[in-house]
Amino acid sequence: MARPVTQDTVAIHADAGIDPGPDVAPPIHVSTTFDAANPAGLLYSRFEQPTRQRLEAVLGALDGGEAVTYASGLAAVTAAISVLRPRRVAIAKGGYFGCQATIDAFVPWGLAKVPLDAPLGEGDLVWIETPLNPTCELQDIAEHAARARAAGARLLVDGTFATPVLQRPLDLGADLVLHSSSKYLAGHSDALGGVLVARDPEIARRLRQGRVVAGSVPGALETWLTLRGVRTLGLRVRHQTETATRLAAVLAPKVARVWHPSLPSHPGHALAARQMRGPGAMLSIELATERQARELPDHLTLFRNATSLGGVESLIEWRRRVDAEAPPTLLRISVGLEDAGDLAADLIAGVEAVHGL
Amino acid sequence: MSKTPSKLGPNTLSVHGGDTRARAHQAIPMPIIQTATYAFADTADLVNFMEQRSLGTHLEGREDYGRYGNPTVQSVERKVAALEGADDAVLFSSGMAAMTTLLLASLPSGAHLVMTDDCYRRTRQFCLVFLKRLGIETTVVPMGDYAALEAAIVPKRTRFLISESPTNPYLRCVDLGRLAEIANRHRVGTIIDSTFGTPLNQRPLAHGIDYVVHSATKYLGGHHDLLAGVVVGSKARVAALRDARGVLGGIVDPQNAYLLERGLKTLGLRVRQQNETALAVAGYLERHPRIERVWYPGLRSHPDHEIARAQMTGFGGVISFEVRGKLEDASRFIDRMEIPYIAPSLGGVDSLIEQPALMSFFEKTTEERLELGIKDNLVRFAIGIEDPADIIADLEQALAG
Repeated sequence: MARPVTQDTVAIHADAGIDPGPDVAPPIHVSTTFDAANPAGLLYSRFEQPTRQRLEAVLGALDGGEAVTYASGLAAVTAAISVLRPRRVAIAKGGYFGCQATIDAFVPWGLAKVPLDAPLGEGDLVWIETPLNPTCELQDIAEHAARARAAGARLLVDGTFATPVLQRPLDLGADLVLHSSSKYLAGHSDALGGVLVARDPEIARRLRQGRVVAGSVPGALETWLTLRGVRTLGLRVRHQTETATRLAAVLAPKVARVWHPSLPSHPGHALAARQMRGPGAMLSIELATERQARELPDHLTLFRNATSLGGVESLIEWRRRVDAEAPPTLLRISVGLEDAGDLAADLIAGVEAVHGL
Repeated sequence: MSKTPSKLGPNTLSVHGGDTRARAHQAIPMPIIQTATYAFADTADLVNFMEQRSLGTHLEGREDYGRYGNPTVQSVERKVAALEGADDAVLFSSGMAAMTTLLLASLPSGAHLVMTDDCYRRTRQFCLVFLKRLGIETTVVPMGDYAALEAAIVPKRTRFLISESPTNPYLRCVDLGRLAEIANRHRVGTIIDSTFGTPLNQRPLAHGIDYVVHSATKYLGGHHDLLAGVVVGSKARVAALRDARGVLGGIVDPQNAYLLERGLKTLGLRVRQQNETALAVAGYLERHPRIERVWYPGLRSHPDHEIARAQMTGFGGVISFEVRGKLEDASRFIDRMEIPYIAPSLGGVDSLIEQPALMSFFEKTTEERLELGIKDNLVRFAIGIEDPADIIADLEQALAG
């Protein structure tokens, strides 16, 4: 396209021209190998394949960098560590326990995990997750980017909760963005995947090289479903964010605590207004007792009691079930595409039903 | 959610409508049940199934062979029924499979149909050519002429009044209540092809229509990546069509059905965006000096604006308009557009644009096309979910060229 276009249009058209055919919808390329006569120089699908190239063209354009996709979000975490090979990773406690566990897996190989505010050195990797799972607390991306750059370190931002619709960390100075594309990007709870988006094409090249060796490529069908999901990303995330904001306001007077950056009581309220184009579609609530929190999901009809997030259907989970560090009174809510009024009515009825337990 | 309450909002219905949540392992999305046949536990199980079937009591979720039913397909059928506020729906391999199965299953030899003009040309071709060979006559009456419509009814022979609403390409809207009233008075059935309407913008059954047909390839699937069709109606009517589908064979396969279900989950968001963008674009085009005429039911200038306002909650994503000049001027404008693909179809996430004179009526002369009501400079623009500002900027540059 000759003219610059906005994100919703990019999500639909940034991959045009990668497949030479006249088909409007992208083909599902299932071929593992390619005839040597192909003009694009494709060899074997562990290296590159066209459906994946299309997804990466779109994800790269959305985040303003070069995208490399993986079989899961944690495969992307593994790739970031094993390709950048930092001596130290500076990371705060908490956040998604899966990322912490993957980073921990490199400690026996000589990686040092240090606090986020530890003094930085050349080649260190600063790792922030913002908004943070499950409380949606924020980190100042530009501030961490400046600090990392001054020390010759790099900054990686896990932006899974925000998506490129609400936050573009590369614009704020980050070197890499990580998304579990299983969540909002694919958006229908039916495809696992991960992506790293690099500002520096040289890092992207090294990531691709590393992926060929590690073999952590996403499968053809998952890749295609993710691309199909990304087409509606803007509509979904804006709608989910509006609904989450409304639910946060409705629930705030009825529960012990609501964690959502739209609320002035949230520690990230002011930063979200500055750094993000919307306070996000995830929220957490705390009830008065553990029993109330454990039983609330059973009293809801629209929310499914399941882990994961970012899909079309609303999910709620007593976070302690999967995360030993989560407060026992906390429930994490992933807001789906349902109408806000229907979700609010369901939650309020549920909260009233468990009241007094 | 199996008995979906009608008070739920359109987006909630899109995600959860008709979902029984009865699936293995409590999986969240419906699995793709990719099977052609179904096993029985033992002979007693088989005999029980056959006994129930001969009594006409279908065992919920129990099938013997893929042509008669599939859980993934049934999941979509329940969702479309919930969205239309209907008892039931039956899915087909394409919109034309839906329409032709409905007609073949319902019409005896010697029957008669009344159809409004400006209807999808393949439906018209099926009635005027194929059904004619079977001894079924069709009278085509002008859209909006209710006196002609009523006068065309042949006592004891006419079985259906058929119309699209909105129509292709002029977005004409039939007064659904008035059509149903005329049909009831003459004890004739009614079929509305509601593809352009979507279940979110209009629900013909609520106006007394008997059958609603959709090409699910369009808005319902929404991503230009599957073909499917659906007929919606009362329990008994749909059950008869499901039996007919088992004989005629126009079934949709489970993978397509899953993609359709996945598309339906974002239907509410997509259609709302397409309604909003199309209304803005139609207004923009109407004010543009290089545009002669805009056909969009959301505009006051459209002949059926009042009907549309009364029976629709949004006007859809398709706009037709005439570019000042000849066939070539419209073609040049289309070639200058950067965002839409030049392609037939509509209702998906990608915008599509086409010139009906070349896409659908290429073999006809200008005069023959005019007789059919298709002007050479007519453009049909099926708007996707791209940013409206980008679409208007694209039109601006293409019209300035």
